[in-house]
Amino acid sequence: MKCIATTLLIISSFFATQAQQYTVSGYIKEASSGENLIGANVFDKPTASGTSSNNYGFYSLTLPSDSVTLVYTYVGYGAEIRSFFLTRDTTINIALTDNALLEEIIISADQAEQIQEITQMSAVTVPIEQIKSLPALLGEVDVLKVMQLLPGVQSGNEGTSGLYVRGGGPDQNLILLDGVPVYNASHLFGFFSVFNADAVNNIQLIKGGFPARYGGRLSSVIDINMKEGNLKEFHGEGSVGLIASKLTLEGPIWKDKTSFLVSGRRTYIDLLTRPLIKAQTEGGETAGYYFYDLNAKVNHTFSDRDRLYLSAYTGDDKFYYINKDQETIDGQTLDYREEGGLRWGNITAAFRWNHMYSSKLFSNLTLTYSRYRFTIFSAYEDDYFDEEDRQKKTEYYQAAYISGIKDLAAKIDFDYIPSPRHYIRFGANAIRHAFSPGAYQIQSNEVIAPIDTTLGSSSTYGVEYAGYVEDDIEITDHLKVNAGLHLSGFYVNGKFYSSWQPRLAARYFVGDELSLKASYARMTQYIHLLTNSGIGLPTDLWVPATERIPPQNAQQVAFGVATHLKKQYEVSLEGYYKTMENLIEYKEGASFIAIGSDWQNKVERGAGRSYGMELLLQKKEGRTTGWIGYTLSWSNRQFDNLNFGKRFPYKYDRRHDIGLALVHQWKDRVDISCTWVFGTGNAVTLPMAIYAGEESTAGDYYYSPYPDGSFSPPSLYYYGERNSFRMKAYHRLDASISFKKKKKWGERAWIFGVYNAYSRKNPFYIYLDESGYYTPTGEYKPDSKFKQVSLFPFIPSVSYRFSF
Amino acid sequence: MNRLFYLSLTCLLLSACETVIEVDIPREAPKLVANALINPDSLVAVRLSQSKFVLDNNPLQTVDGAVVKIFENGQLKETLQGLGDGLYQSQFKPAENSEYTLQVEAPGFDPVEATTFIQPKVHIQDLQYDSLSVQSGTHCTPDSCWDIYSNTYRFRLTFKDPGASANFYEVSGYANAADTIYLYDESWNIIGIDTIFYSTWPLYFYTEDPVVTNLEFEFEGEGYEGPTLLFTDEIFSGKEYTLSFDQLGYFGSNLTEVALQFKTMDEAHYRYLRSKTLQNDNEGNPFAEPVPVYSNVDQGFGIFAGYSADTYRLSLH
Repeated sequence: MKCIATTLLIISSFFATQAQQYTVSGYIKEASSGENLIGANVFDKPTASGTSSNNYGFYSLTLPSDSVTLVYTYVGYGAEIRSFFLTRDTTINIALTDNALLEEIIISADQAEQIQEITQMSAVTVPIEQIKSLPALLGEVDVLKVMQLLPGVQSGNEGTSGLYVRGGGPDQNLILLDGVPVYNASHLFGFFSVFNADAVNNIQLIKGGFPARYGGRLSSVIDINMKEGNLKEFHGEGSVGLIASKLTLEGPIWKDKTSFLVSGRRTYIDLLTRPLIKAQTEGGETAGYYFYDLNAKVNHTFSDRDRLYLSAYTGDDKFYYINKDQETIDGQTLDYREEGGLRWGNITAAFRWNHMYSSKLFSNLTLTYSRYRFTIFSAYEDDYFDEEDRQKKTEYYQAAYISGIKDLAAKIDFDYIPSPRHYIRFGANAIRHAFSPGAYQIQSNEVIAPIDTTLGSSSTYGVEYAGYVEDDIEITDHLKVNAGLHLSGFYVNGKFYSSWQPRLAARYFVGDELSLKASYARMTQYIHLLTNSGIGLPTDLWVPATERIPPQNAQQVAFGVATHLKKQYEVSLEGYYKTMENLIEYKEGASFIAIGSDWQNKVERGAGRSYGMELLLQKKEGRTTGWIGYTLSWSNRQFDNLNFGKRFPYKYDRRHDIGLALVHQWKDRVDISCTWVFGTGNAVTLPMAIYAGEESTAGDYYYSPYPDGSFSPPSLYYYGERNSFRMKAYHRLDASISFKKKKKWGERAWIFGVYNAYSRKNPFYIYLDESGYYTPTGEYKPDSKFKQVSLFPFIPSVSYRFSF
Repeated sequence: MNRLFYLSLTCLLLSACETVIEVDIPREAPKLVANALINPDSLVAVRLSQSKFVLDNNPLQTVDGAVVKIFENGQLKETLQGLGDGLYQSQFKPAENSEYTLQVEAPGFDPVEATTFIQPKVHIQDLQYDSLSVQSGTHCTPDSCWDIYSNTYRFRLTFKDPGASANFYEVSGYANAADTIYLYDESWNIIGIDTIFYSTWPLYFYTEDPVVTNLEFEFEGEGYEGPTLLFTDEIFSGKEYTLSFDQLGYFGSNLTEVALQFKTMDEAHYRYLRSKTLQNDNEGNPFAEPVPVYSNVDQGFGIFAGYSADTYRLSLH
């Protein structure tokens, strides 16, 4: 602490200027709920200097002692203005009111900080209200699927929520839920993501030009901040949909001091089908699937200087079957119960403590826990009648395959704002990862052979450290630079890796409305994801970098232009070039990781390269909001031992990708929205030719040719180069309409939606069907053809949403 | 487990719809396919055929009338004689420690070429076995049940790896067995022996030896089973190694003799065998990346590879 204080003192003296200066600081909040407004702007008109609020709504602006006029703005909210003469350090906490609640919208000339002003590039924020208004598969609002509509972000297969950012893999996204990394962000094989939009406050996606405070993944940061809970009044929000219902409750425990939020969601296909299955099987058997999410949060404001936050999330997916039976012997009821299934899910928990040391120095301490676990289980319990003892006894057997990852982390972050020209952030963190790549547990009290054993590999531990410092410096009125350094290290099984990661982003004004941006970032990732499916299955396994398999590295440069049109449309055009090394892929033919076998023998190491251009036109305010994004990109991989060493297109290499999202407030109570996506077909490997294999190899028979020269030896497929074919282009239109109505108790909305409005048969996968048919004369005719499997046709949905 | 997983995924995809589609796959001209595994104990036999377009419904065709030449250490050794049915045979037997090149020219095809090196033979130093009586099942009559035991044989094969370079091995073989057929009474009690007859069949291996399982993508503890054992010297390069494997017996059958073939092959041969098996294993899984089969035939397809084999006969009592 002493060290930090000294450093700060030196930095402060360095920045001290002749004129007397004072600091205005405080929190910017939402008026009706007291929720933090993240990224709200504060701007002093006379000096034309400003800043924006951090993830906790805190801001600090140091200005000369003079008459000041502070304008507070936030997208979708009415501006607030404070004018006064600054004679000492001042605390101003500001509450901004939602435009929708204002009688008259105050249009301020100094709107929120425009896209061309910020140094951060390759970053997009989508207002949460917009996310909730967009059409969704089966009416389930999905935060990650909305991200897929942004340029530079590729979706994987049909319907899944995996993100492929600028040619990177799904394991290279740092998905932070209130600062806690989430390892598997999807439910139901990726068809839904784990984030309940009702409980989300703010989402930011960063694709490049990563500030030094982020690290540990190569391709993106998805920073999701949950709501903290209304500090003023008790409120609720929820929905009833075709497959799931959800409810969020929030309110003050101690007005303006302590608030809570609980939020839950559960699917109920299994509850609906259970009686049907029971009826079919005379009550003995049930089977089903469900997933649920549960968020709980509480926070307490001790003073303007201290605030504590506690939050927890748990969510699971479960496929199960249960088989029950009963019989009576000698008046004793003997039960038989058998169950089994698959289950996977995350648990995260976070403790955060905000402390304001001074009006210029803000800190946040975070302690987190995150666990992802995948289990296959089967068990039975069997009552039997022991003839000797004349007693009922129970025999049981349980077996489970478990794999997963568990993290414990501590993190400290400081925001130091010495003057309007500097915004310094520094901090450090340590994460202890426990990797469990698959263990088989068996327990039984069977009379013949009681078992209590664990097979397979034990956990591997790795510790990841990082420290960073960055400064957002306004060098001249035209040039602003964010320079930083991220240092990290990883210790695993006696091996230590470290990495220096310089980060640089700059913005230069050309005229008043147009800025040029450039950035460079080097990233290191100490964990790998073993995946063969490429579709983000729960069986995908997290493993650490090891002596043989070093950490992944990436370097990315990006250049861009940002401006706005008519103050309403943000426009950005960016080009990027990214290289990645030490990526892993399964060896040819390896498909599933075996219990206890060494995964390091089953993977190949290679490199990746991606480049492209992205255009985004976004409108965040007004009756019609939304965006259109276009991406032109190339992404490929090169592995010495795959595809004969030749470079090949990445599976999700997508030349053209368009994402359109529109929300229009048609009438006061009627909103319509639609999204349309278009993407070049996924790259696939298909057989091109068939030829004869060698016949004499042991195990094969000798294939004697027929008199006409034809023969049927074991045939082999020739595939050409990896991923050299393209499936058909993917495109889909979704639309929804919502009818809102104010009720005595609050507001309700009926939402009708369609997924795949024109029922496009989009390709899911292609396979070679070599079956034939019989002619009417009974002759068999071979008839080889390629078949395309499509997943979702036109799917309507209806849901009912309410808030009070 | 894999199966259970894909099963649940399949249930989910039951609503999926299939359409026959046109895929723009270039219909390339057929290429020559040359297959020959050569060794010092046999004449060279090359099978020539032609590849076909993947959607071609006609059977594969052999190719006759080609000029097939074999070069030994860069010198033309022989032009092979066509026997018909795409088969071409030499008059000579290849030698160890020699390089052979195959050149084929056939009308209507691009000429193809492939080269291989015949590794010197690695001898089996020793072959030991234990027989083990294990319960292989239960036999039941209407009145009672009893366990059936059969002989399982565990073999230990010792050899010394030359170590100079990477070596690739394959074990295969045949067994002679005396099979007994028993006579039963009405209560299924054995009352005598009907016949004993002798049979020969290819060995079917079962092993948990790390040099073999190391390459497999199976669950540990389940071991590997198959008609051959394919492995490299990665773990024991330059050292003596004892490989162990089992032959599972069945009731009434006793092995009398095994004949093992221990092949030392070049890398091309090994990669061909390995990738061929993997392509087969992964076929039909739409989520797995297809495996290309290794070919060393330039401008064509197939495999031209050499090996030398040591054979070892062991009588069992």
